[in-house]
Amino acid sequence: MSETTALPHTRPKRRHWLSLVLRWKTVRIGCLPATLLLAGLMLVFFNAVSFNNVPYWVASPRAYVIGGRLVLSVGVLMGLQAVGTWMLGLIAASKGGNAVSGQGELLQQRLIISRRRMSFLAWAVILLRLGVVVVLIMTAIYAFTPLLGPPLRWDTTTFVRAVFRRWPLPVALTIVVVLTHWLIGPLLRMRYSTALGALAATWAKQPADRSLLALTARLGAGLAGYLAIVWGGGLIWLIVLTIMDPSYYSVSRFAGRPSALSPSSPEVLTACLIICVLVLVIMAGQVFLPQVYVRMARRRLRRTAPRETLSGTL
Amino acid sequence: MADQLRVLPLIRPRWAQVTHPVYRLERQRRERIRSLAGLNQKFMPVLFGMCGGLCLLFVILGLSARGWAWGSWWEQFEHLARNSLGFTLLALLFVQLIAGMVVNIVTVAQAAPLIGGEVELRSWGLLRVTTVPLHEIIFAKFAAAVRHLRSLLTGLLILRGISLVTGILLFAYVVLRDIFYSFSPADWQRFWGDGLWFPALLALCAGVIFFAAQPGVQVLLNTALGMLASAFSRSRGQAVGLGLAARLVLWIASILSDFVLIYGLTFLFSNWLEPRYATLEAFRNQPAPTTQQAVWAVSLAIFGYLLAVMLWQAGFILTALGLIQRRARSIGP
Repeated sequence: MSETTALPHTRPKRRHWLSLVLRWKTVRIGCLPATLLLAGLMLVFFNAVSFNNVPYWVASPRAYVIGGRLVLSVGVLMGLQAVGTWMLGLIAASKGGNAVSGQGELLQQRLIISRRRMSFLAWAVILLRLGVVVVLIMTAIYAFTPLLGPPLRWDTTTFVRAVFRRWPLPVALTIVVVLTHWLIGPLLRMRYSTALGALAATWAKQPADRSLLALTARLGAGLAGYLAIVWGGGLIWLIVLTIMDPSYYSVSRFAGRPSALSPSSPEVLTACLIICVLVLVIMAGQVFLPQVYVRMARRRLRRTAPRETLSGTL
Repeated sequence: MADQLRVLPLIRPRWAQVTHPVYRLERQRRERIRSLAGLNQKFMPVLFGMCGGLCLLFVILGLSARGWAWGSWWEQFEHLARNSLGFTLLALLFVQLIAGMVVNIVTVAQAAPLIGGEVELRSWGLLRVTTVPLHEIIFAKFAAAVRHLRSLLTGLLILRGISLVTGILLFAYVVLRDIFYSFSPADWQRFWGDGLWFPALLALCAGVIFFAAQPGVQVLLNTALGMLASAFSRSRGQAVGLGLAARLVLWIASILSDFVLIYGLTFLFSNWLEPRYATLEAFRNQPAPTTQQAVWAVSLAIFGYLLAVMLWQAGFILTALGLIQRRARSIGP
């Protein structure tokens, strides 16, 4: 073959692996400080530009300004953590999808490594969630203690105090359950998303499709979760109303009950129970479903992946 | 599942199987189009992401704009559940509108070069001298074009299914809490005894079938339209332009005709239901219809209208395929 014969250029393109590693390291190192900085800057900015003028009809300007700024801070932090949680789920699913290889013997270990590599993202979200808790604690300090000046009187303060006095144990238990899930939620979400991504990736015909399938599964699961809440809530409430038939005109089982939720009414207890059960069910799903997904993924990989032998690929 | 998929080729027509040369050729051509492959891969995640994000946004913004209902706590829960369903449906319909538009344009653009491209490349004559009959060439191209849109179609069908369930739940709220709630025993007797449930159920079923079938019907209709434009063009560019223009004209015409028909029917019904206030002279001296007559007439009108639209769509697809064959016979090499 002569030198001038046009041969296809087979040499692979040089990969800039070093820069990729450096980029990933920079993200890992800078994620937590960047999150803190972003959250801090946003809080300072929004608090600086809002609630500077108190309307003339406000009875207690101090309660108005502090209350408004606390609600704004919770809103900002909630928004940031929601974006972070969403991104964490997507990235975890994508990484989980890319962890799939061979017949899945080392799938569990590969997923653990993937999770460890992006645990910094989960910690960033936990940090933001911790910020929300801190703001809520500050709200409680402002409302119920004289530590930061005379206690502030908001509309809900009396209700919360009465509920705490009437049902201290159930309310405290509910707070503990919700708080636990709120703080470890990102870690559970990461675990769930990597497993879901890995399972979805087993349907990929080519390795390049794994990431997209994992993302599809994660976004689909998010949509399914949202619809489960909206449809489930709507359906349950429709059935309850149809059976109980609360009406202005007819005598019903709701008749005689106060129209507004009273702090001493047993509905508070029911609400606490429903919240606890819901959170525990979600948590159980996030704990046990990943194991099922990984087992299913391994079974699928064993069944579908080509087996390598000494004489070649079967 | 795998066994079921293996059975599928048996019920498929010959021209839609991989063994058919034209179908195979078209499939291979389409597999090489990177943009189509990318769109097929990314459509579902984008659709799910858009749906989830927009539903949440619509519900949060909608609920915060409307605030809480006045009244007891159970009424506030009902308000919350009903509005969440309503805003979710609104978001889903919005996503459907955007996604449907994209899929319509892609379908026409994919189907338009099917014959015009062959004519431009001077390969149409070669195809015609083979032993494959003309109708099989056209149907095989049609099937291959539709096959590569199945990912988009699946996404739209999932979205339709979700919207349908949300819509039915919302409808149940309206019917159970606003209509049945105030029914007297005499009303119930009339509803069940006089069979008033039947026309309402008929109209509801027609609406559900019409709504659920639309993505599939639209894909077939747009493919047929694109191919029809292709049969009357001498190049790919011309075919795509003609196809998109035809789709736009069809879209505007259908919106205008639907508007005129629905408005006209509503106007006639309002005249007929309340002859005392009728603006048309012909209805003034007529007796007012009974509830039974009114329910039957309105339900049958909805049923008939939806059936007519579906028949028109099916007729358009079949006519377009017939016209394509007729035109393709006279296309030179």
